[in-house]
Amino acid sequence: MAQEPTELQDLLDAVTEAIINEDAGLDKIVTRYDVSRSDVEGLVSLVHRLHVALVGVRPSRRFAQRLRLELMGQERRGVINRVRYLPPRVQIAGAIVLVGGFMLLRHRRHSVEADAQEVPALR
Amino acid sequence: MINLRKRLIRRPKNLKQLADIELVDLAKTGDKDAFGELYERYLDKIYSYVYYRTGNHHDAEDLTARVFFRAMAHIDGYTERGVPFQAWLYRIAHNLVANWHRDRGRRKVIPLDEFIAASLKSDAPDKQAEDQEELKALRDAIRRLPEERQQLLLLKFVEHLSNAEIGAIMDRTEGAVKSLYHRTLIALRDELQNADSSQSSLESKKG
Repeated sequence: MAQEPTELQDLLDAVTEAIINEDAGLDKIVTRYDVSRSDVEGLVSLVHRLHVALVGVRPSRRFAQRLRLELMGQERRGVINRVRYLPPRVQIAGAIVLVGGFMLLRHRRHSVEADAQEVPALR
Repeated sequence: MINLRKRLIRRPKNLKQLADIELVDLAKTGDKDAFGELYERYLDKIYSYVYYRTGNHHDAEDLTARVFFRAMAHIDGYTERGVPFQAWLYRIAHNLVANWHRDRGRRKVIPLDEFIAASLKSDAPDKQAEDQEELKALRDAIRRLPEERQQLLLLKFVEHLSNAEIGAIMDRTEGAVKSLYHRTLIALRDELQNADSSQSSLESKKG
């Protein structure tokens, strides 16, 4: 290794900051470090490409406003809103318990009705 | 108790002038506007981060909402102690995204297609195609990086965070972040070169 890795790390850090902030004068930055130009050129160009490719994205205004209202409690925080932001596993478990409970109740009610119909026949 | 804290912490008129930690203190007393200000400050950043990690707006909205609901529910338990509020929020986002990937068994990748398309809108058509190809190669190479390296690139290039801020989120020192960034760039450059050379050898075989 011709140069200390930390020197190269510092150079890449400074160059990246300059590219992200769209500052001119990258050459000046490179000359401040004891790193050969050929070693950094490929990496500097890569940093440029990353800066072009990775750009921020904003949520829709509608979503931002709706979420703010929900968080601030200005909108009715009903059961649906509460359930909506639970982890999917909890939602699925909740749905299974609800359906299971409903089926059990229905089954028991059906059994009671069937028993009631059978009683006169026994007499 | 909350009333007492409310009386002790006098609420200034302009919340925008307050530091995060002051807003957190107010939010702990039940001041919803203070939490609202924190929400305004970090919504775009958290949304952007989650969007890159999930790759679609629907899940990004869902997970972003969960991040803020979770933050609001647990803000009482938050104490700064070396982890700024921003880092705490990103950690919540990171954990929720990790759960999301685990639940779906999806590969942890950064989808970049829409961003690449958006960044090329103003270019001439022939240059667009060339750039698109180049950026596709870059996207594919990023996808092959380990998750922590993808996360680092996002925090640096999308979120524009400093090494100290990234370190607080990733639980690393600034020096370690710098070193990881250096290794990430080298790995990415090697990936791109390997992809280039395998593409060239394929073309020469065809020719």
